[in-house]
Amino acid sequence: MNAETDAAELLDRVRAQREAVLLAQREVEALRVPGSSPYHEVTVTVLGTGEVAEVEFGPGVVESADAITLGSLVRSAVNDGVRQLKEASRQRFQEVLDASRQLL
Amino acid sequence: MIELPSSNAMDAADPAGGPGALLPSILTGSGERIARHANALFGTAARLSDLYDEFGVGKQRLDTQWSGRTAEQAGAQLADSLAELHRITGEIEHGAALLTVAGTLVTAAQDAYRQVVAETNPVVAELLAGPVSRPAAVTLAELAGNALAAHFGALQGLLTTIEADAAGLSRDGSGEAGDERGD
Repeated sequence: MNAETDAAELLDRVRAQREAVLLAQREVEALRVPGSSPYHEVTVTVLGTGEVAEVEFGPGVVESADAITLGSLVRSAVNDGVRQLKEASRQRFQEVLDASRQLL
Repeated sequence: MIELPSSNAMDAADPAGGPGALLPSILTGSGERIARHANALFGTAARLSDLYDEFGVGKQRLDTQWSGRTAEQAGAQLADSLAELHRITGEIEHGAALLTVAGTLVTAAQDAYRQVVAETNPVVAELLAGPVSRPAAVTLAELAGNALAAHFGALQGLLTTIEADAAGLSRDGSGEAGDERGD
């Protein structure tokens, strides 16, 4: 073992890991994840940046539901979208961790 | 006292405690002090080696100017002592060489910690501060922490080998491993 060479290799490895993590983060931020209320009365699109890009109401939903119900459906759809985004993010970073473990 | 960069963000993000959890394994040694000690030992070995040469010259003079049974006995005793001095000098040199390697390894571990943390901690801190980048921060902190731990593990393995080698030296030099003189 050469301490200097190994330290250089360690730094190279950590830098490569950092690039892999930042790439994964950019990929996650580019995601567009759908979310919906339990019976799909409301669907949303959540961006990887955490912003809600779109909210869509199913046919007749706005006419038939009161404001409180509509609010509840939107909240439910947004929470579903955020949950799906978190899961997609978790899976993407798990791939980074697994790939790193295979290299060790 | 060695100066190391803060690893606070990595420590906060890494479930295993981050580089901060590894600090005790690299803070207990000073590579520079170990190197100074090794150099002092090399100096001692060099002085003993000079002494060995001087005694050798003295013995040669005695051999040419003193004869008889008593001279032979004294000459043999002196030769034994010179051989022992030579062996001890060699052990000191070997011990000093081991110490030099150990000092290099300790310094290497501290340098590796310093560089990895200095480059990684600010990135982890920035990712932690983002509204949706906490998983990235946790992943990066965990990866860097694992890489450092593996690196330190390899260095620790070498230090353990050196320690065993040095322990063998002190055992051999203590006379416990068989007394051939058998008085």
